[in-house]
Amino acid sequence: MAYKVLVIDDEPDVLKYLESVLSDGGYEVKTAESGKDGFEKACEWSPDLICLDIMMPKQSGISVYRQMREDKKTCNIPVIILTGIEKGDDFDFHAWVGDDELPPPEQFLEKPIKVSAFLETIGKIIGSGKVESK
Amino acid sequence: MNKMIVDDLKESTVLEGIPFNAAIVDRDFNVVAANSRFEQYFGPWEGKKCYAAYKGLQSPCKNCPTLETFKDGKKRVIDGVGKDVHGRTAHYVTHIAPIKDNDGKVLYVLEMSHDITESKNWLKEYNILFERVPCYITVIDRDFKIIRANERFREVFGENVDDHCYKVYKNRSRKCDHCPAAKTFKDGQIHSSNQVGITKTGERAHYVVTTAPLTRGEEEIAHVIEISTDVTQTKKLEEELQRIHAFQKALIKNSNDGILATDTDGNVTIFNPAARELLGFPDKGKPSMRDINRMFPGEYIEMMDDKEDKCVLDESIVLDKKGEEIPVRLSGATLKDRKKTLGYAAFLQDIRELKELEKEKLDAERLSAVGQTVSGLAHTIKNILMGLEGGMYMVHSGLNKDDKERTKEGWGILEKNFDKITSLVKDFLSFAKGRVPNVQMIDPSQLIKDIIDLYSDSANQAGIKLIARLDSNLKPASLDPDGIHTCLTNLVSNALDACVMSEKKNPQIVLSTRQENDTLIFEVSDNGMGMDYNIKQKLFTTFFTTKGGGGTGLGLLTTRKIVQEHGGSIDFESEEGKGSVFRLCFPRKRLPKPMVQEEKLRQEKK
Repeated sequence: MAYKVLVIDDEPDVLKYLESVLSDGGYEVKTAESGKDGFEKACEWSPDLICLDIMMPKQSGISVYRQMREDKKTCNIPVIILTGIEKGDDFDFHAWVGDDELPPPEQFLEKPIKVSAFLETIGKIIGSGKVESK
Repeated sequence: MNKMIVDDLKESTVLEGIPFNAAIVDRDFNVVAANSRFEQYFGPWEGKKCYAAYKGLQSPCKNCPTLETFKDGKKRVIDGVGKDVHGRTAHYVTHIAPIKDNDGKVLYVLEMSHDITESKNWLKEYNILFERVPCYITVIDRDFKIIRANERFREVFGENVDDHCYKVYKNRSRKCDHCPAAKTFKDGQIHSSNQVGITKTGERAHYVVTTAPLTRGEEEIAHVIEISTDVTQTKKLEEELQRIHAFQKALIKNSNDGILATDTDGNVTIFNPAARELLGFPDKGKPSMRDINRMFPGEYIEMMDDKEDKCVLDESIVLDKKGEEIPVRLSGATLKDRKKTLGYAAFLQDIRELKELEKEKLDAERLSAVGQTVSGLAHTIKNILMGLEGGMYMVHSGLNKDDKERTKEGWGILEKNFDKITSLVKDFLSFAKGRVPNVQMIDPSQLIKDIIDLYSDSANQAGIKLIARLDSNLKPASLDPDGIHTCLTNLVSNALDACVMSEKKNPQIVLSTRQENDTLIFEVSDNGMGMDYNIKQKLFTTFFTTKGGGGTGLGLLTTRKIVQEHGGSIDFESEEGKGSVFRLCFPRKRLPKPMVQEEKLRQEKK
């Protein structure tokens, strides 16, 4: 059984790209084009990891992230947030979202991603996709 | 003997021959003889005393001159007042002459009178005239002493007769330097002059003084009649008028606005320094009517043709002497006195600096929008990079795996992102660049029709109704058709997206034109998804887009820029889930002037 990764991004091209990268890396992938769809899939499918885009038109990535953290079914799934905005060393997640209670995601990754670094990061969090079974 | 003389006189025609009312009176006041003239004037006299015959009295008059003549034998002339045959008051002058015997004793007195009632009346009238005439009349002697003054003078200056005129009028202690009375005394002619005096209360008073000789046949003029008219009020009004005139002149001269006025013949009557400066006539010279026709905008010339009473142009152009265009705020007025047109005035405010500032502000806004949103631009570019990278990865891995489907997909992604970067650069340049609008007189509704034609197919395919609601009475407006087309394209494509995203049943977009007061309005409304508070806040932020990678976030900004270049504004209303309305409002008087052919060529050359 491969690790399951859910990718949420409003951009179909990005979804196709990340889906290819991840499946080539040996992960099982599902994609969602909106926060709503993403949250539903996360609940149903219980992925091992979620890649979440921040800039989405209808429901922002942060509000989807908050929703996931507040729901029992999804609150323990590690999340990688994909962002186009550079996060410096002194980046303060709590100040950014304006909420001291919200736990930060496992990782921030800046777009555009580097394929090797992307897979490496995911490997560190949930393990390599090549592992057939736990 | 005595009796004889009288009888002789009576008998003779001597009495009858005298051309007066003649009577002979004896020492006892008896009228002993009279001519028929006398009887006609005073009535029957025989057996009457003279005082009874003349005046109807019972006893002699006081100070009887006849009695005096009996005493001293001298001739006399007296004024008398008696009663005529009709009982009316009669004025007469009586010459009294003694009739003496050889010893010189006065035996009788001959009284010859003639009527002066008429002259008396004249005198009275003249007197009233003298007393009441509304100016001060005095008679002064060679020492400038007032020896007689009329009632009006006495009312104002008191019974100051005997004072010197210079004392009374001016409170001086000696004769004035330029005294018209002195001149009259010298040459016997009438003189007039303006004099300033001081009233009793110490205020300045102005008089027009005329002096005339009061000759009575004397060789040397003994008296002069001095007539003074108080013109203080008139003078005050005149001074006030002069003050107002000076004030207005100063106002016009020092005005920062250029003021140019012409009379009805087109002669320039006012041309203040600011107008000279503005229109390029620094020192002298004035524009002719031909110049004005050339230099001033048509609205003003029309006003001068009496088609309008005034014209107010918030933004207009005048040409200076050399033909350079100067942006001005012009307000023109027809100058009228009641209904008669006196001329025309133009008030010109130089708005070159204002225009320059406006342009600088626009540039600054544009630059700051560009500068401050580099991170926004970076984000957009990163998204595209991500797409390119994704495309490359897929092409690469597809080729490696010999997976044609993936290669094709990757290639598609590459193409799409290539298009994106092309349109980003295009949008970005059109936003960042200061474009010169190509303004023409066009039918606003035609613009909407063009847009409908352009989008009808794609709207149809998406199942969206495009509806036009056009005001057929709309007058043409000076607009940049390409610019407005861009604005409407942006709004309509936004509306289409909003409809597509809302998944509503009967999606529709209404495009309309109308006019409210002087403002031309284009409106694009949709019943799409609408916007929430956050989106509305960020609507005019650079690179803000809700379309993911599909938009550059420059559409509305570019739209706003074009609208502002037309002197207009953009506003919107939106409710989440219900739809949005975007309105482009153009106050007609702020619209740019359509370019004339010559200018167009010049612009194109540039």
